[in-house]
Amino acid sequence: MKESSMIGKNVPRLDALEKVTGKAKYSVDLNLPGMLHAKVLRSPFPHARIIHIDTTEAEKATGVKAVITGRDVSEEKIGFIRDRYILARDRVRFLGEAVAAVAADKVEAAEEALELIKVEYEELPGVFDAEEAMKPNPPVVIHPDLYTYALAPNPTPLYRFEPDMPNVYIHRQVLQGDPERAFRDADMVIENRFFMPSAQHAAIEPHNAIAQPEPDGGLTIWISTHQLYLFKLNLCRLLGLPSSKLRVVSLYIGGAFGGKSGLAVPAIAGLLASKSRRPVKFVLNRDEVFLDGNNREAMTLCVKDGIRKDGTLLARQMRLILDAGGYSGTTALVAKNAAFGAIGTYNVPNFKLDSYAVATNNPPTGPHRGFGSTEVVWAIESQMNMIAEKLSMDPMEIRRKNLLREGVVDSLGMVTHSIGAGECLDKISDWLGTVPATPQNEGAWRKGRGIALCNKYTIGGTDSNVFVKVHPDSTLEVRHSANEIGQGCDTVLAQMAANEFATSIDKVKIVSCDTAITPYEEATVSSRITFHAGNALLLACKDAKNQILQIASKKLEAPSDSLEIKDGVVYCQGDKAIRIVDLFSPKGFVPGGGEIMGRGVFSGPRENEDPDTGQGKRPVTYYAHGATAVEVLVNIETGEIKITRIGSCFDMGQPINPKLCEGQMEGGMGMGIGGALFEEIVFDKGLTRNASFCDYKIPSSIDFPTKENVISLIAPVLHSEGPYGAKGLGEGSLLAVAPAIAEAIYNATGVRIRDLPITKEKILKGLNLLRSSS
Amino acid sequence: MIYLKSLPTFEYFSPQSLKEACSFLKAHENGAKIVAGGTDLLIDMKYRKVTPRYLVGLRTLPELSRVTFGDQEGLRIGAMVTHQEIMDGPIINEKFKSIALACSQVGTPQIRNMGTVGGNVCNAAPSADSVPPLMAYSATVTIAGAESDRVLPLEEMFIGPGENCLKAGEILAEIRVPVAPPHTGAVYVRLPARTGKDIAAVGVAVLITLDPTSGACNDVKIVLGAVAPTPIRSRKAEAALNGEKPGEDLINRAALLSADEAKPISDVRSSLDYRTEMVRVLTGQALNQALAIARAS
Amino acid sequence: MKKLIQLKINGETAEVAVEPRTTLLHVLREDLGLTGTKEGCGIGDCGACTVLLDGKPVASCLTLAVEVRDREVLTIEGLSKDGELHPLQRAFIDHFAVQCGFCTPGMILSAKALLDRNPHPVEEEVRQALSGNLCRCTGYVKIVEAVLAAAEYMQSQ
Repeated sequence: MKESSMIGKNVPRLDALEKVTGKAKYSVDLNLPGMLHAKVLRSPFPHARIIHIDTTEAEKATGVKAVITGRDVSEEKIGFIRDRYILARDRVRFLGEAVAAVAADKVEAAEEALELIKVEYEELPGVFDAEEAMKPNPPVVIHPDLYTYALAPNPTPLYRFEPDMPNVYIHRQVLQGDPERAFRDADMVIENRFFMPSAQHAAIEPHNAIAQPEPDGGLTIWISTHQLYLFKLNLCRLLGLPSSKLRVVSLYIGGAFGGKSGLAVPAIAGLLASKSRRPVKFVLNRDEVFLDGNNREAMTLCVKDGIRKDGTLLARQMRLILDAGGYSGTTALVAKNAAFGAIGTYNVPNFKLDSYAVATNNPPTGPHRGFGSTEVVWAIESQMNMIAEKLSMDPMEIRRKNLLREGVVDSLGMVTHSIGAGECLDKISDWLGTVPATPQNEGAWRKGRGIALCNKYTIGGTDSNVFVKVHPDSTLEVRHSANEIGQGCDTVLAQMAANEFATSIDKVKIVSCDTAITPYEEATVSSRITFHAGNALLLACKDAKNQILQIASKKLEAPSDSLEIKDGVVYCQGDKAIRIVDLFSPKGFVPGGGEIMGRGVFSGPRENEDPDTGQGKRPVTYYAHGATAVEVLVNIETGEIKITRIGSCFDMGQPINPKLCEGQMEGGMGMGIGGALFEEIVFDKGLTRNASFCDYKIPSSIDFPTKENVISLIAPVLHSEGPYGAKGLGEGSLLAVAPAIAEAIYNATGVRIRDLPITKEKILKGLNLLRSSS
Repeated sequence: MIYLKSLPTFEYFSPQSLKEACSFLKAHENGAKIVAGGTDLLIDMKYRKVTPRYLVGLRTLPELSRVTFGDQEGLRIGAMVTHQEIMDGPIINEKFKSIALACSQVGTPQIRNMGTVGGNVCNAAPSADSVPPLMAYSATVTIAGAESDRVLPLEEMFIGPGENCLKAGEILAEIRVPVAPPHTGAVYVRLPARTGKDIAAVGVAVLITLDPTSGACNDVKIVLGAVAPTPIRSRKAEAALNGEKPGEDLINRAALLSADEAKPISDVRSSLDYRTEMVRVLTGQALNQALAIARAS
Repeated sequence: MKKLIQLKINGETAEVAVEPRTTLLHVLREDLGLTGTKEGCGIGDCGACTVLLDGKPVASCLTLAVEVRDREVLTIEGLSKDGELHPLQRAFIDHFAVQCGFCTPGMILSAKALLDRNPHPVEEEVRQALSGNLCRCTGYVKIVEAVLAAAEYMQSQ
């Protein structure tokens, strides 16, 4: 790389103009000629047998064009453990499970037809508490055939069933060293129990899909998802279509955060479109998003640490219990991957983890920004603060002392590389130290500050494929299938392409997310796109440049290694040059090659892990690291909490576009504040009690500190395999917020909160306990 | 689980006069409802909690959207005046600050531009923010009927959660707020349930008129929102303060009495215990703030 | 059942056939193809469906089309004039105030209503004015920055 004019530059977002003028299209904005609207009927019981469904009346209703039930769906099921039919067949396992679907010419007609469907249920006992459900003799076994279910293909299917615990989907074990011995040798053993509740992603665009029948008997489906090709793979299976007959398209995605990962919405739209031979649009209402929108599971975490007097961590033992709900979704995989987050920051020579994903009759769960890390970081960072307090150590010092360092083998057997945790900690504590202090303890308000660290792994063994087509006008057409979910991947990839061709950003055109024309991308998940798609893009650029150089070398009669491409022109040493347009014939054809099209394939590292201990050489691709600092004011009379300052510093490797990185950090802090203080899906015997933005509150503009009191800093530690040394960032920015807030609240009030969210009421209860005990 | 749906079918009636509206309501006793801002009613309809056959829109009646003030007749607020109009109203901000402030706490800017004070009252939510300060000012309501009108103290509007005292064919036309005597302080203090913008977990309105010479309370009104089936007066606390010179002990005692009179519920937003405790804290705050204003005036 | 009504949308008169239950949001998105106005919750909590009605931000999901007769509606599509972006639109681009973009149209319209009423807002006033528009991507930091910058720019013009 001679020049790096585009990397690290705040190039304006390519999609911003469309988005500020209302022209940007999301799948929910499409209206096709003859389009029908789908609605589903949902189970009123959390656990019941379906005796009979009668759809006769609904089929006859005005405007109704198709009705389907479990009888119409394929034998193929969904989930990491294949445990769920698209529409329930003989059993419903959560309140809100879809049992029938209607397509009608108007939304209202579909809604009215649902009321005409008669379903006879036989209610079954339910279990709603994961710890009760995981007992050897639970009140009810939710999936009696669990052990016969098929499993999704996964690079490392690292899990096991527990024959003595019939409601446990998986039990994941990790072991390194001899924790028992280390606990005996430790000067102090400290054990705590933490809880993180179920949460909704709350993307403002609800889940939706539109399926259109094609003349060849196939379908085109537009979907709001962040898993384009994964959806295509699964929808082919669920709809009985060969790959050539299913085209999946995504437009802009109105937020995802992991939530747009459920297959039921597009599959139901597809089935109804096939049956009615009409385009069908299916949009979830907001309450349905809360019921079946792949919520984060509730997790209970027990953390036991053995520590030397000087603060050295000798051993850590963790037990995680995940309430996966009536179907396992991706939560079986969360149970596995949570271990990555648990070991990514600190050097713990003796480590043991047991993680259980448990079936209950609560709604099913799925991926949520962090994928297990939000939960374990909450517990571990809180625990680190408690250890520091017991040892009368500075919480920063105990962290620095135990940080993993470059070259150190971590608790899963991977050699640590590119770890900026220490730099992040330093930078963010410097910031907090230098900002003017908020007036101390005015009236009933008490001030406190807290800092926490975090890490976010990116999964291993995934693949990206990017094409770069060079047009005669020298525009680079980047064809990729990473979903623009707001994170800015289109802009980041365009910057990289412009940089490789030493051209300007307006010479890059993005064509994305259409399986008919854009190549394979595993999924826009796990903060992996900048690294994986970025690497694939660099290879595609290299390929396209080679093609250009070969043709140019003939035309210029110069060796290709003496040529250089810049601003649409191939230059030769001396003053010979040829424009890219002149490589094409007047008809726009490249003699001999047809067109200039570079292809790049990047496969992330794949290493198998030991199924009994979780040990492997490369269980994850990389870790991003970060730290968040918070200052709060807490009212000791009402328990009110004001976040007066918040800042984060992250190591995402080389930032490609620092402003986009800031955007991710600020958004993560916002979501983190919500998770720390407000957000919890409340269940009552399987019934979701707060399925609306009125009852499930996410932060609004007034819940965030003012601008000089917010900061996003960058402490890049380059990754040797990343494009320009870049890693990923998206998820990590959320993780350290809750433990930093909890620590700040503790420092303000002496109240230590272990169960999120930290409500006013919990603070007041804690204060009352402190008063009564002193 | 009640699911959200599209709006159900209904017919829309646009009357030419208040009397015509009342007659229409009377003729369609259980099948017709008034739509004011629509921010509560249309949601209830989308959830199918109500499915009226007719909606009677009052936008064509400009007299319901007026705010007037006179030293003698006091403040008159038409039922269709929006929360935003109240919080922006110069007279209301000057002379009835607690009412303007309460209206600024309702919902979001969008909801405040749509929702009306009449709707807030008639919807009879225990947590309605506009109601406690209006009650503290001893507001009355003018109710138009098909045959005759009647005037009631505002607090008599409320029967239970979501239930008002209007009879078939009656429409809340106007809210009248008398001018308080000199040496009066009126405040509204609320605690949002969770986020900064949230329904009140507890709201407390206080109005205190002091005797300027003795400094004793001539008149005290304490109104509690969100902690009983309807907004309620805290009469025991009022009685404890009336005629007395309020000091710290007395204020604490009154606040405890208010907490004792509150009858809150537990829901997904707040628990009974927390709400009860907060009635004590907020009543104390509100009394102190109102006293400070009354003493300074 | 359906009635023909005339609405004034983005300065132009539109004639649409509506049922009494038809919402303004439905008319905009389904009848007029103005899909810049979004639906996020259907009950007025999220602000994605915000439009300006007689200059004031309202939730179009809770606005009956029949009640909009003879009133002025401004949607995001009507904000730029003759291809010239409104300073708020420019500022949202320049300040990276857009991420997924689903809240953006409503957010910009709420901001416009604020600046029309109050051309020199302080930060707290901006935050209050935007408090009915939920954004899950940005933490609101750059949105608030953009609105303040647009106000400053409009001042200088």
